[in-house]
Amino acid sequence: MSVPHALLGLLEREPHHGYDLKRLFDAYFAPDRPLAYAQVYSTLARMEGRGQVRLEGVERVDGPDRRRFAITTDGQAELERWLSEPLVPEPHLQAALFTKVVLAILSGRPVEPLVDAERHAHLERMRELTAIRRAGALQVALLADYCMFHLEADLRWLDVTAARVDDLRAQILNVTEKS
Amino acid sequence: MTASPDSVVTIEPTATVESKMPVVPSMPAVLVASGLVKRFGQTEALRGVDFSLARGEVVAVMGPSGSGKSTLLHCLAGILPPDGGSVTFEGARIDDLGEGDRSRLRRTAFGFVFQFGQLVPELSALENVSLPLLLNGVRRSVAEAAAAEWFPRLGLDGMERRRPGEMSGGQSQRVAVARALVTEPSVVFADEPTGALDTIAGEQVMELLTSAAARQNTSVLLVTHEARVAAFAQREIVIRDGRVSGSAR
Amino acid sequence: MRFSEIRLGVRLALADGRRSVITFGLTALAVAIGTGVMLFAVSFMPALAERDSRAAWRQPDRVEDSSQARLSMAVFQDDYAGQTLVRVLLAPSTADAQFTADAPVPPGLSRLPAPGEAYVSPALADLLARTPADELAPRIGTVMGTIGPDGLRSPQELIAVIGVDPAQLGTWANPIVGFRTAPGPHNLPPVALLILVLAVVGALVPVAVFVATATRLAATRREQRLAALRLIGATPAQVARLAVVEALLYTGIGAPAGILVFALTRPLVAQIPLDGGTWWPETISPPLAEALALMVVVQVVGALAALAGMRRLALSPLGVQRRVTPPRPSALRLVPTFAGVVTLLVSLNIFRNSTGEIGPLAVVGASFAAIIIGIAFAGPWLTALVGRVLGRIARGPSALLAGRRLADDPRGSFGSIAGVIMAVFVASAFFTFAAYATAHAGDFDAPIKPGVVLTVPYGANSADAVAARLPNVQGVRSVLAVKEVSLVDSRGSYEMQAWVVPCDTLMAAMAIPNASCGGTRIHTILPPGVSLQSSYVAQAFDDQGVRLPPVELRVDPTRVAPLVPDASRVQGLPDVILDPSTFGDAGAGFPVTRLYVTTDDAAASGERVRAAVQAVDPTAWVFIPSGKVSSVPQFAEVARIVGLGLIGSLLLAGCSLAVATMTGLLERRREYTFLRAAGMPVSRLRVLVLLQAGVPLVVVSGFSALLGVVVAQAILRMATVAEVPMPDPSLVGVLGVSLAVAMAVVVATLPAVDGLTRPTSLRSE
Repeated sequence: MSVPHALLGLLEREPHHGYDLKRLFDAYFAPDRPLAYAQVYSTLARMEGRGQVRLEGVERVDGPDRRRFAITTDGQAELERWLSEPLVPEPHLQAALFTKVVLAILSGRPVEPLVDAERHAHLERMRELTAIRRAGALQVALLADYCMFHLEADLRWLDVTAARVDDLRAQILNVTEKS
Repeated sequence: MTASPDSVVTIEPTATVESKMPVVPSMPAVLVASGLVKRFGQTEALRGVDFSLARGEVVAVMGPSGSGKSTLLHCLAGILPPDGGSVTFEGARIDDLGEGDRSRLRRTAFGFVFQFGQLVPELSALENVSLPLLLNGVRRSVAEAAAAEWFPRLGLDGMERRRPGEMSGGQSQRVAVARALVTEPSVVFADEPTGALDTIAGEQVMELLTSAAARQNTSVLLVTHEARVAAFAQREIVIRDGRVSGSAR
Repeated sequence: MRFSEIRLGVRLALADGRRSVITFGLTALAVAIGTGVMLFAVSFMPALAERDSRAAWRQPDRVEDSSQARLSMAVFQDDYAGQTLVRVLLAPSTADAQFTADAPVPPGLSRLPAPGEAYVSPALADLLARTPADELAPRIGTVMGTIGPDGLRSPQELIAVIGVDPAQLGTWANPIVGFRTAPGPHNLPPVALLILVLAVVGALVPVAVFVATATRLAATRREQRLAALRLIGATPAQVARLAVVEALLYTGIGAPAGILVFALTRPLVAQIPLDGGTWWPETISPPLAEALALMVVVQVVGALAALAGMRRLALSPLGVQRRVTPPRPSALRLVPTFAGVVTLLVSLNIFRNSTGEIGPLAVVGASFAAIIIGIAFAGPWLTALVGRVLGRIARGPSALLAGRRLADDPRGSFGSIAGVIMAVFVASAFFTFAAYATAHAGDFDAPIKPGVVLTVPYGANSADAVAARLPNVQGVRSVLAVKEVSLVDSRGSYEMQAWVVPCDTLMAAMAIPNASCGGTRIHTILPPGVSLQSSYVAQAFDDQGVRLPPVELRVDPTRVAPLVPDASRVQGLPDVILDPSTFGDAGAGFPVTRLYVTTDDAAASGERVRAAVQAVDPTAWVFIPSGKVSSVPQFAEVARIVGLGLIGSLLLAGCSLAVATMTGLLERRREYTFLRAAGMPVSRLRVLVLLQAGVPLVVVSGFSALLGVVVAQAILRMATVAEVPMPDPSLVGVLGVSLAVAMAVVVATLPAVDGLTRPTSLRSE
């Protein structure tokens, strides 16, 4: 689900409270399935353990915990790495791909190179699968086909998204203003 | 291969596989374009494209509609003279040749497969395939004999006398492939060859095209927007807004 | 039909933008031209009739009771320098010295000419002004004025109304009460009538077929459009109505435009000569009823042609879409042509035994039309055959593509050349007819030597006056007078014609091969086995018709010799030629019936002789040998009309050939463009276009020409017993030029081939 990387991306812009992070995450990445608070805090805890985020401050005014987190240089590096390296192609990558594209837009990074890199990786994988299909027995070929169709679906989505980048950017930044 | 309940069946991406695809050692480039520029009126279709195609290589040219990929194919094939830059084939410049010379180059050294509508309806499949040889002055009987050899190779046994209108789309595209390869060209240019076909027929055509080209060490330049078709190529380049983008090796 | 359907039909017809406007324009133009030609065809008979009625007054309406007569007339037709000249001699009726006050005046004249005066046609007046005074004017007299158009057949006519004394007319006089206003029966020989009918049919049928095929020019695209409508649910009836609307659009505008075409070209058409003269434009006008009927017929034919095309659609809208091989034209298509030939031969046989009645003539005309239409009908089969052969023997790609395309779509390829093919057939037939006509020109008389003029004086006592005058005429060398008698044998039953003239002087004037005068005084020209008896009685009549006293003739068989070895080869000579010494003084009273005048062979001398003779005796017949003159000049003129028809249909066919070529090219635009992308040079494509148009044109034309010559030869051999020659070799030249002109139009479209199939136009994205 790449929740950690999404949080890193949100923190890259500015430090946030856990409460804010959940709200932003829902708005940008999962409008149909809100993230549970517990998952937010547990993820943050893990990342803190890895040194990717640090606690910047705690405020306890009336009400719940308001711990503020910030991204570290390690976290920054991890985010960069994740964004620039293409994902390992496998079926059902939508969520991760989607996250990447939105983050890129949010952070003002160019979308096209990202899409191109993903496409290249997908095509490489599809080439391998084509070779497998040629060589293998029928069941293997069937499985290869299955993977290929899903990868193709991902690629189609990537193409459409790349074509819609400008509109997408306007939408997302619109949400930003509202929040 | 693993199967787990909450994720789909996957094939390990890193497993070593035996592939029938021949390993292509790096060979000299047979077709090189550098700084290609082409304008249509006010629109710039190509804005400085560099590209090279090695002997025996299969390369896919991808990109959104209107990006200039067909224009790139036309310039590389000598159909359109570019407005800027150069195209070199086997070491010699071809972009500054006259129409007659380019025409001759196309019929002797190149082969073409288009999406549809290239076979002449009133000729039989055999006659359609033999057309490029006839254009090169080969005697009719010799041309038809050479053309006939392609039919069993492409799974078209017995279809020699049929007309294009009496075949399925897949069969007629295979005839088109035979026509493209009959002169044993150096390069085959395929512009959306599977665009009008369904999945199975399309894959058959691509399989036959690439394996036949490999046997003759013919390069293939494949313009397509379909990933599964591009998967038959060894590498791809992406054209966007008249320029090469994306990571091409 | 609802108004909305009409509007839809019109919108659909013009839906293609510029291309459909061009197609519409060309088709409407074709319909207009076809209608115009039909209007001329319909005006032909009325124009002929009008011409005949204007000339009707020249046929004497003889009255039996000469006391009733108001004047006498006689009409003579000969020529001046090869141009037909008609002289109408009018004399007061015998009782009066001058014309009575109530004497009728011919149309076009203000009064009757007194003896010595003449009224001439404007053309003759011009001619008189241009010729020397002793060559023509003496035959006419003093010109008092011109004849108006009401009395003239054509503007070029040379005719004079000459006043003469009754004595000069002699036995030629026809007493009349008034001038005819309605023409009498035609005196054309039956063969000429036959040819005329065939000429009209031959000119009309190609035009009619052309109009029908022109409306099919737009048919393919119309069928595609309407097929799309059928697919979305239009009923066959609706689609048929739309097709009819579109067809009526062409014919509804084309047919009235044809009236305009007719009016504009009428002055030009009036210049086409027939029977020696051109026409007054106003005499060429179609009768109202027939013109209206023609307008209606054109609409009906157009609508029917459109509906015929819709029949395929009614069965299946998909039949038009799918690119399957259309059914081959069947060999049965040849049947109408052969049936027509058979019917023609049978009806000719019947016609030969008839006397020019309408019935068999109509069947002959109809079967000729059937052959012509049969060619148009058989054309697609022939074209398909040509295509198959070409495809089989083709060595290069252009010929292969052209041949297969022809075999695949023969109807489309042939349709536009149908008009040319039919015109070729008709032209070949008429060249054959014309060859016959010129071969059988005026063989009446015995051939006389060039420079010798034959004069046959008819008037009373005129022979002496003529003979006296002739030696004074410039250019005359000698005058030989020939006297004529009948020889009756002792039983009084067998009569021979004899000339009394020295043999050697006669032979000096005549060109008779193998003639020898020898030393004898009597020469015979008799069939083998016939010889002279020992005694005859020579009889003759004088100018007034009074029998002269007979003179006995004793024949010494040893002093008789045949003039020529084979008498059957000689025409125009009598049975016997007697030297004057055989009669001695007793023959002095014999009448001089002909004079052979030897001149210096200058053309003007012959005319001077004629002028001098006819000034004295207007009724004299003068024959000036001047090469072959067609006995029926109509033949040559008809051939000229047919030639014009050939050129006209070529122009029409050229346009439709160009359109058809372009249409064919457009149908294969994608395939040919891809072939060019794959390296086919433009030159090969151009060769393809030329082959596709040219091969069927040349091959089927050759077939039609051959058929035309064969049919015409058959007609002539059956219609007449005279020898039928081969057509003039210039036919090949004319055909070659015609085909070249038609191909020139195709060549003119070649530049478009490059532009239409440029590989740079390929944009699949």
